[in-house]
Amino acid sequence: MNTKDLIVEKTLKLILEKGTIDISISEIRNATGLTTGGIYYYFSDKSDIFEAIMQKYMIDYIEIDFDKISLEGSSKERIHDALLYILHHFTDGVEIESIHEKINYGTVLILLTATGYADDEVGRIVLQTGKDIGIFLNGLVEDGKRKNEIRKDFSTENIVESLYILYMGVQGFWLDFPNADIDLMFEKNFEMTWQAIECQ
Amino acid sequence: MNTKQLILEKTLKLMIEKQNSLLSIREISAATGIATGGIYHFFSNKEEIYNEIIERYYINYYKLNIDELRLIKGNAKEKIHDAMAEIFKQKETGIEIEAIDDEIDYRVILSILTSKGFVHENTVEFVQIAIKEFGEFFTEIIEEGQKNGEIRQDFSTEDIAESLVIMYIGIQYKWEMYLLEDMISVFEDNFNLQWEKIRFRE
Repeated sequence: MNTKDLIVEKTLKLILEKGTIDISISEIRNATGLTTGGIYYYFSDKSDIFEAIMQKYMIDYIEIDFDKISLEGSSKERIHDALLYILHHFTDGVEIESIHEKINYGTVLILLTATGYADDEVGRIVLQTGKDIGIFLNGLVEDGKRKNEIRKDFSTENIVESLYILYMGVQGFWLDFPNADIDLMFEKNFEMTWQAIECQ
Repeated sequence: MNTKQLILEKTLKLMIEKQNSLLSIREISAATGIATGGIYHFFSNKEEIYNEIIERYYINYYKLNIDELRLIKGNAKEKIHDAMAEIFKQKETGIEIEAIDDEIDYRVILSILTSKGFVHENTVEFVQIAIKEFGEFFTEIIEEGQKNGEIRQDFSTEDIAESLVIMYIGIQYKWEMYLLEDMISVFEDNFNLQWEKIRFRE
């Protein structure tokens, strides 16, 4: 790992350990073993380090590459796999090399939220990704209706929203209960949802 | 309003203006018009101010008034609908802050307080208990609905209660992420489909 990445990771690790984004340069110095001058060689100031953290662990994290979602099988399978992919995308998070033990990415999100909120770029990317997920699901549901796999007496908008809420509900539950078996929870609730929306 | 309350509210207001939960005592003093000594008369340090703010405006926010929900009358469908609608109404309104005259989107407060709220020793446990209680509240209604043939019996009572909790968290989380304008209309639009998931089946 290069020094710049090391500073970013170690600072994030410090944020996780302290449970706050309120970190001083001297703490970053101790954690990285670098001198203040060494740190300022890579970053102009502390907020510059935080910006790099936000870029890597929030902005780059939120964006979904929808092309990576493999779409095969029936509408049920396609919607199931897509929702699970999106769910895992967010719960897996960004790998943090210097932390060997498994961390719950929810903690990273929660600790970065306040700063993230003030960051317009994060807000923009959340909204854009949120919209993209809706559009993606919309395509799958429309397709399912055409193939007579999804019932037509509920509007596409309604069905998309209920799938979306199901996925976000499981993700939200994971933030509140980090040790919950969210895969099992997703499977059970997906089945219940599918039975409500499949062609009767 | 007493001085202590004023300090808390003005500090929260400052956090909202600065979009940041990290403030200096000097800033708090300027915002409240109270000298540093006056602030320290009510709070022994800055952390104590933060903790009270978290307890009042963050942890308290997640409290659900289950006793009130128990007063709702009707069949299972009506009870579930009315309880959910009531909760969404409360969540959207948030906790009243006298010192802020303008109508405030409570999500702003939630996002500013999240990182501090999370590390507060009671938050995680508190939120978990509130969600569990909400699930238990639904469990009673569902059990009754399953008995009298309103709600499907091929899924366990717990699984059906869980699906309602997930719906609740899903709508609230989507709203908190600014992906929904308001929770109540989304809930109303989706309730029929949600009911379709759990209604009785032959």
